[in-house]
Amino acid sequence: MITIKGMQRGRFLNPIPQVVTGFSSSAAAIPTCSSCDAMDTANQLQSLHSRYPEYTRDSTKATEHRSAFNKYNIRGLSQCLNWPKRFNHNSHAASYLVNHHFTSDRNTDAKDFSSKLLKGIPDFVKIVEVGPRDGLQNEKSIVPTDVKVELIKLLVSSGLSVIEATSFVSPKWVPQLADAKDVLEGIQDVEGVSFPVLTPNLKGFEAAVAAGAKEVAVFPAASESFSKANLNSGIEDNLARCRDIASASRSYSIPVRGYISCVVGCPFEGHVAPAKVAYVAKALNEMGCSEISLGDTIGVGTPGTVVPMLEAVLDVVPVDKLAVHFHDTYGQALSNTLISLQMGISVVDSSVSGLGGCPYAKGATGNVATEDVVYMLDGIGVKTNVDLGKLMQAGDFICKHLGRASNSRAATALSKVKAHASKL
Amino acid sequence: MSSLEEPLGLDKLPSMNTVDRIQRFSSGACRPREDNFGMGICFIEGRSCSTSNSCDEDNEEYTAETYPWKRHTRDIAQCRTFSQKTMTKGRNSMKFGMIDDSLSDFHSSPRGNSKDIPHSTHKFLSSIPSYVKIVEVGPRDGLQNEKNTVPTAVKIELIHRLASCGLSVIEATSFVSPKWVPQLADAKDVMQGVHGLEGIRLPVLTPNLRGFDAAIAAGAREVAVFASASESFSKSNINCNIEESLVRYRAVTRAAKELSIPVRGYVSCVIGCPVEGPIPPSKVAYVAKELYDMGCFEISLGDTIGVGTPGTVVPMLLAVMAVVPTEKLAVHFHDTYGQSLSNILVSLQMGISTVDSSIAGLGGCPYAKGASGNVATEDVVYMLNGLGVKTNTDLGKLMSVGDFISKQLGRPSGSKTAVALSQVTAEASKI
Repeated sequence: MITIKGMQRGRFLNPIPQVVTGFSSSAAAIPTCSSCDAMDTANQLQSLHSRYPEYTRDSTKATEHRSAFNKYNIRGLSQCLNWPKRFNHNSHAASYLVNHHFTSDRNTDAKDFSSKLLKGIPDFVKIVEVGPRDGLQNEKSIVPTDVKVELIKLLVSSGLSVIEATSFVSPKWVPQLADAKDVLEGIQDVEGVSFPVLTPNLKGFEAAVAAGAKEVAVFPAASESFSKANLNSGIEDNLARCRDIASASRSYSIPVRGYISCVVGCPFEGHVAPAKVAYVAKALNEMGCSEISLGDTIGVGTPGTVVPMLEAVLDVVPVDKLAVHFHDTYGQALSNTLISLQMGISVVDSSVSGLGGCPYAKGATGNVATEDVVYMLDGIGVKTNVDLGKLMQAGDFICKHLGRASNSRAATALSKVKAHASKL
Repeated sequence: MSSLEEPLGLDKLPSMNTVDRIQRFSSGACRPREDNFGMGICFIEGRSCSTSNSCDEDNEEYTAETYPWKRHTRDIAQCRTFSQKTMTKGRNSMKFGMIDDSLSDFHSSPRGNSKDIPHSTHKFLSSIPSYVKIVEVGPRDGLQNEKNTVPTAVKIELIHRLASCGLSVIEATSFVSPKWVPQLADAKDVMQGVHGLEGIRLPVLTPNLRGFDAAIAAGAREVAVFASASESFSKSNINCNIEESLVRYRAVTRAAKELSIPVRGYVSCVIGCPVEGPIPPSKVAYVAKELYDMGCFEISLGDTIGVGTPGTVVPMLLAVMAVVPTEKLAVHFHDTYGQSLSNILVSLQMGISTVDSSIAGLGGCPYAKGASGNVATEDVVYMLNGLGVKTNTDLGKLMSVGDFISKQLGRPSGSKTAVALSQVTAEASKI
């Protein structure tokens, strides 16, 4: 029986019987399914076994276990992936399929260490969905207001609790989000979900409040050159502006989320010193930001640079106030997210379908796809309250409108398998 | 996080030249890495490369103008004291952010020499091996799963080009019946074409004794066999169940032992099977142990359909590591669900030091048509370079090989690193 908490984390519902060695040609035929319902199956599994024999080559118990193996009714992948009908809060077929495991009782040292690899990962991770803002802002096509509102509503129905709705930046600079006011109006009746909006300065802040915003976000950079080029002011000036917004929002009791861009690398300066990131993070924390999101703007980070950066920041800001915002431009986002989770970070920013390219490498990808993140978190057994199936529907919706394929590999794979399965 | 107030047009980027940018953001596997900071970014101080890896000769062309960060040296130096205070106060004593001219070339110093190398003592990174062997499976596993068949000459060219990147093991082809794998029907000719390659191991797949004999006749000096951890997958993929396949492979390994030919063992479906669903780790351990006992020098664990996540990879590896020594294991993840790099990371953390990957992410997934398959070598090398793990491969050269084969196949590269770096290059060249 699994005894290590870390191992149990990955166990989605119930372990399956340990299949003993010594298979012969009369080994288990392909298990058949008797019911569609994941929960029924899981219950059957639960009742099927109560112990896990040690790994052995003797097949004295082989027959017994083989028939137990035969009995359990797990559907094949293709059938299981009919998930839209089959999920249950955080459950869905994909994670159901991949999370029935148990481990050998040998080699406890390796197990102890390995459990550390997963044990530090928080039990619950909050996903901050930035698709409607960071995503759409970086897409070539401009999306009409009603599509934006529909997207946000679909995202809400997937269980996301924080969705960055829009940005009150001058439409001169970001035409894609010129309809900020209307978007906020369209979602004003949605309850229970937080809709932060970006505000670059006091003017934007006031416009946001007037439009009904209940949470705002500010975004200094950790790199001086990037700050000057992107925000037209150096880090210190920017922080001063943020302080203005923070004090204004305090009077409205509006929480402020702080973003830091270029936390690992800058397109101008190259490497960014962790100390600088820590400096900006500390400033944001002291001015009253409720959460600080660390963004690898150009996606160049790897665990070798992410870890020192996080360590520097963790020295000055408590871990529960930190979020990570990785870009998948170099394909590194998920591994960076994993190492951040191992270090105790419990908030991850992502964008449905991986919306949003990279302005520094035309045609390259940008934000990490929410579906891929949720797939990994589900696989590790981390609660997100996000339903992958519904999330995929939201992704599908917006990709159709943008006329482009999803950037999410998990979504692409699952939809292909589903399409294939529906032909069976 | 992108430009928020003002979308940054590329015309605003500083006047760095193309190659400078590519060096900045590509992992400098072949260059002095004293300023690497474990990021995969290489600050070239104008020194010529002294590593054994092939290095671009045009290094010397770069003048101080191409290194604008030198102007920032003062800033960074100021940060140095700041960062030293922060870092030594922190949990580890890593000398991060220091620019120290006395730092020796990364590749010539052992990783344990902590004075010279920015070696992380962080608990989640310290268990990662200092050297990882990349097994390039593009010419076999990659091309086998591509829609278009590639002519023999291109395959041979691909293998030759891969060999010049520093890779030490390249899976050349497969002696499976052309009836099943028409893309690799020219196995014999490919072997003949790569006959002259020295210093590179070129394993070939052999499903049975007949294939083994054909491989030996064609000049193969290393073979590979492939069992499945899933009965149903075994039956549908190689037409026999697990036990029968193991019997066949025992014959192959026996014959190989007589000829002193090393045999690599693959286990497929180590996490999930397209038919059966999840696969119990003990089954994987069983098959791995059988392959190891029959004489395979290395066992590669393949997540064939790419469904794995650290939650399932860790228990699977634990089960296998209980019966096969860690140094004999390799991991072969598919990126079908985008999970491969995080799975590779956690495998490295568990001590695995051999990773299979495919140039440009060649090879789709036959079970999810249109979805991606093998993890891209460029992405893996990018991460390993960033981690400070030695691979002896040159990312720049890998990218040009990936470019070559992608053009031949008429499809974009499956490697995000390659796409990003080449886009940055293209844009910068317009400046």
